[in-house]
Amino acid sequence: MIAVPDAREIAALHFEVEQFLYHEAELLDEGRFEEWLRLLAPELHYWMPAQSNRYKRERERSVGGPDELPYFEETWDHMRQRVARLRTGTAWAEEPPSRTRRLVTNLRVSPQPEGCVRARTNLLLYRTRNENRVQTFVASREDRLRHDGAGWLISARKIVLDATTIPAHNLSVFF
Amino acid sequence: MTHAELQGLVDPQAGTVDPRVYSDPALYALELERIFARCWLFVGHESQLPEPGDFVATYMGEDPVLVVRQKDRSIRVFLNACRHRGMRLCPADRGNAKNFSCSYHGWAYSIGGELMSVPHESDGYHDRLEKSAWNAVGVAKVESYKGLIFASWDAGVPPLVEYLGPMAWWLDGLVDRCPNGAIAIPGVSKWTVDCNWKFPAEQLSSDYYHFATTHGSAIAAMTPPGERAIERGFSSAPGYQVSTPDGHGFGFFAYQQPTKRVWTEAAHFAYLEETFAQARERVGTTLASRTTGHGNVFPNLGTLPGSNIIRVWQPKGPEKTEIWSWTLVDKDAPPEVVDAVRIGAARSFGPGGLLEQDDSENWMEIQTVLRGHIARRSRFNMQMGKHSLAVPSDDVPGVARHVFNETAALGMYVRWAELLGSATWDQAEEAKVARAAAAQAMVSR
Repeated sequence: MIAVPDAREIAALHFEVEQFLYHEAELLDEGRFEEWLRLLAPELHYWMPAQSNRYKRERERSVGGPDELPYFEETWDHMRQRVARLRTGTAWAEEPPSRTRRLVTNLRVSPQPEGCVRARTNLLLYRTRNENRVQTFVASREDRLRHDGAGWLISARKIVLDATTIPAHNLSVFF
Repeated sequence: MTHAELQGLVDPQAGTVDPRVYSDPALYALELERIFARCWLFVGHESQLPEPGDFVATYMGEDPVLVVRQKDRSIRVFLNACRHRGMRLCPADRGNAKNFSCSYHGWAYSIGGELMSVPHESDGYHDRLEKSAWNAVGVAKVESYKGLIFASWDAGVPPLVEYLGPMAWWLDGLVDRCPNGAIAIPGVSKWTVDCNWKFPAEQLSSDYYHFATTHGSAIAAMTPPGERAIERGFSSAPGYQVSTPDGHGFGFFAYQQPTKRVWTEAAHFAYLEETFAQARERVGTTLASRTTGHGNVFPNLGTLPGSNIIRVWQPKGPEKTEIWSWTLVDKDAPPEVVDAVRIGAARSFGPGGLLEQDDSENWMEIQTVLRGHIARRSRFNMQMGKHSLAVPSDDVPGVARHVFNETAALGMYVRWAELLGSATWDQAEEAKVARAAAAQAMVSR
């Protein structure tokens, strides 16, 4: 049984989660990836399914299911590898690094059992690199957050890009 | 561009290529006509179309096509365009359809592309529209190679297996390891690279050379702590590079048993070891062991067999390519292996793959440099392996050379120039035969 929180508790939780997600975006925008890894739970499931154009009667199948080819389906250790790669100095997709700006909006928070929360957001990730290359990623995100006593951790993240064909030459940034 | 100028773009004797092959709009227009409206092109996998009416939408060159399973189990491929005003018939990427009805004026076609009905047939056309003359424009030929569906707009194209030549052997390691063959895992990865389609095609034809420099960061990061990546010891195994007369190419290191690479997921590797004996019976030791390599079926079907990936370089103008990537898996593989292959392909060579992401950066920056006049007139060096001799192999078909070799890149461009310079398939075949004779004469001299 989940205790029904009052309006002040909901507002406080919303604020807390919002500040957490803003902090996370700041770490990524500033390239502080090791600090970012500390916000990811050991059981992390980081998933970006693909999306396709479907007839109206098959619309519910637009977003790829768990048996379909994803863009990402990663564990914590794979995210660690990705960060390690960026630190080699020869990860050419990000050398020199892209400038990124994440706009995290439309937060909807819903409490879940065991002190977890489901946090849904819209993400606009603006990426600029080299002389004049500009790419914009627009996505919906659904996070499962849990509190470990010291702070919130992301235990699952599902990212769905609006684009069916990725309007970029790679996905070398974090969502 | 005259015939002589066209042939001058590629100089196999000097080992050079004119960079205009990647940037010239007139050459691109000629490619759409003489390569993409002519060669066998990959359009999908049969497992994507289990039921009648199942379809996928793809492209042959810049021409959108529908690939549709028929009631008699055959597969038809036709232009995804209404014959009335050319509106795209089907806006979906895949699905199941009972018919294809144009959303502009309502012309309706069967799943085979036959024009079935048009609005106002009586009061508009006075029942005199000869509907059978206005079916959707079909391709000239459709053939499958062990589940891989290819189509061609040119009735003169040789049979698919003949066209594939040694590439059929190469593909067997992907599609014929087990008795029930392979299936395509549902879904396609699609991304956009601002570069000419031939940069990735050439790389998968011919280029193991870039691996250490371009992908060093991924190898370092993906190697478990305390272990030494096998990739650092590549030269300890015999490596082969094959260029075929039809412009295909592939390269790999050949082992006697499966060897784990950084991109081989644990469950996938265990499966390769378990099924090694059976696979060896079917496709031989070299292919049954293969966990690495690159290949390209001319013009635009790339393969990365170590990750079970096949992909099409969809041309979108001289300076733009969409990469459409599928992942295959043995039909008999258990679910945990399918999962490992599915996730592993994305992790290694999807657009966010630890290895793949660096490739597109190279191709795009080259394309940007090629906007310059001086850059366009400074020929590229493709001399690596020019003096190498064939390396005999009992297993590998075609003429195999040492793996660090650009003969398959040059071979691709030589065939490309022949096709652009030929008005018909017969002419292109004559050019190929003459080339083989000239090479033979050179050897005898």
